[in-house]
Amino acid sequence: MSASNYIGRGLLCLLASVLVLGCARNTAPSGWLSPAAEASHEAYGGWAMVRDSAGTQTDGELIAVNRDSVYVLTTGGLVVIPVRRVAKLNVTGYNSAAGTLALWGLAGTLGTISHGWLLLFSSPAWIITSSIAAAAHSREPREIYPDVELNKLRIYARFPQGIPAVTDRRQLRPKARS
Amino acid sequence: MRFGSSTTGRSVAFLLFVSILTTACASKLTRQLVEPESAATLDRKAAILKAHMLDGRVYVLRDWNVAGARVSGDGELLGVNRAVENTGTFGFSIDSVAIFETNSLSTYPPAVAALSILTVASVGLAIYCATAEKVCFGSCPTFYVEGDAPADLQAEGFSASVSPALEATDLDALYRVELPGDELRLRMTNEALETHVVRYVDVLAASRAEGGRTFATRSGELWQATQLIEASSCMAEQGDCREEVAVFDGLERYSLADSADLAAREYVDLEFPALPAGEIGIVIAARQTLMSTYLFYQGLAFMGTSAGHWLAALERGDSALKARAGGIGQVLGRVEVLLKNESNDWVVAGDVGETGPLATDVQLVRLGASSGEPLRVRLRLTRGLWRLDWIAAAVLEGRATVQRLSPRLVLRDGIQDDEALRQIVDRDAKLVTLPGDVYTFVYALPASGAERELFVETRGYYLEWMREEWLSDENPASAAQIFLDPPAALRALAPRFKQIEPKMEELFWSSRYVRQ
Repeated sequence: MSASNYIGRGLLCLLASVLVLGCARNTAPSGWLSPAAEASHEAYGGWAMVRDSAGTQTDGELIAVNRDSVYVLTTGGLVVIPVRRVAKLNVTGYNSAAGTLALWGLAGTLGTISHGWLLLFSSPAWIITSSIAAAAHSREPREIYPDVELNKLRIYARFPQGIPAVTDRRQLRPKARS
Repeated sequence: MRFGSSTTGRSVAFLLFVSILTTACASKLTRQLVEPESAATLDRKAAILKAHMLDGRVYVLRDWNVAGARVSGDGELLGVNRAVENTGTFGFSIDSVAIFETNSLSTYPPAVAALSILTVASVGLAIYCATAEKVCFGSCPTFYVEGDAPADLQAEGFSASVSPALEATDLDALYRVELPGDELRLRMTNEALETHVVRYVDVLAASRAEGGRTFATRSGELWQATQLIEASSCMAEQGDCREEVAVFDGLERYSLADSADLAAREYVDLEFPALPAGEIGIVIAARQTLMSTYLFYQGLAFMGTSAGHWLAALERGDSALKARAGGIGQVLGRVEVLLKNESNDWVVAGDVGETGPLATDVQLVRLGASSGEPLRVRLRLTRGLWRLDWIAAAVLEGRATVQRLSPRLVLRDGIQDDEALRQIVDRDAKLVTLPGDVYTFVYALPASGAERELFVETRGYYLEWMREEWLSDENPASAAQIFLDPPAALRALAPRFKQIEPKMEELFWSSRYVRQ
């Protein structure tokens, strides 16, 4: 395969791998999830996507998870979903910035043009490694029930201890987008 | 597309910039929840401690400490909607804490580590290729067979034809291609910084004896073999080489170049069991190392800015220069096959080998009638120039009948290209390809797969693109020496070549394993 075609197809493969197969996706509005460094100084919940047994999906900030309910703060207010009705809960704690890893992979794959005919070997190495790396990294901040116990997802909640009894639930406000 | 140090510099700089940017962004955050009664188990190395209070507020603390029933640290107090309510140094009782959360930030997660390693290797390879560009860039038209898994490189076309005046015909065996069907798709690629000018690409479908194979001699004759017999012994200066040459399997016998004279020869002695009566020959599958590529590029580098002048002289029909252009190749020579004569002296029976380090070609040397005795053969070859994959004695049955096939269809990047078909079929026209071009030639094959042997015959030439980096190597005296006194040039270049040979061979071998 020729050099430019090889790289061209490689880039397509990389994009396809990362976008279609690889990276974990969520429905958080753009900019809502903070990068890891910023998230370590904040105390919001992660972005939750809850699908109940009827197939209805609720998206918003994970406020709390307790023994009988999951609390999600949507744009319409606080939604309480009984645990027995939760079919799937996907929560993302922070922005993994996996896209920058994909960009790194693209740069690396493009850079193999300086390897001469050895790009026949170095570009697949870049494509495969960066696709796997970006996909794996995008999953770092994400947990999914029922793959893990629901109780373990409370670490991504605004109130990991549960909603305090003294808190007026009507006063809860969503995080402003950065 | 422009290659060279500027491209290398830009790509390396861009790669490093993106890697630094990513390393800064793509951190990993690890959280841990700890109940207040287990505060003694808190990870003291965690940079951030979040104390989630019973009233829903949370302290986000740096330089924190939990001693006994007391929590202290610098940071912020956030309300239930996480607005900052207070900042500064705080101290409070553990009794008011609902749960602790520690946050540890890893700026070097596994994904970043993996790409960092790849970046270091990639930048190293880019720098190496910039300093030893002769190793990394360049080849001639390369041919792959589609539908043949794995799609190994099958042939290199007219590797020694580096100018219009040196246009030549090249015959390569498609020995490892086993196609059961009646169609052959041959993909021709230009993977180098070269302009390829191709007059034709024909496939020769030769007859094959039952249970045998058909081989080409260096002069282009095609002979059918009924039996192939592996050597009972193979000895060279480095020791036993029987395993390396027993089977056409990619395991090759090779040596390193002489450190004082690149034309220094070595010998490989082979013995075969007694062969049955009839005409016999020896089949050798071989390719060159990167020495010839290095020498060609070094020659161009020595010519530097006057390379055009030299090539123009060649085109003007300067017969003396044309004769000298191939001089260094003649001094390096091919793989010579020697037999003992009646006086017990080794004499040359024929030779095999063609220019090019990528595709292994299989060729036959006819040795005459079998004596009925064990066959002893000596190979004489330039040290460090040849990779011998397979050597076998062959019992020959006669010349093969040959059918010449022109492509019936040409595809460019998968799309039918009738103009390219016209150019490749019309002997007076030429198909010109540039770096990155890919053409697929489709042939209708006669007979069944077991009854035919396929060869590809190409004719043309190619023009190497000068690289900016080579101009710094310009040395008219050394360029002249290559043309006027090739033996002296090969002695003069030996130390320089030996400096890069180990790394060059290492790269070659590592890539070869991937290709297999």
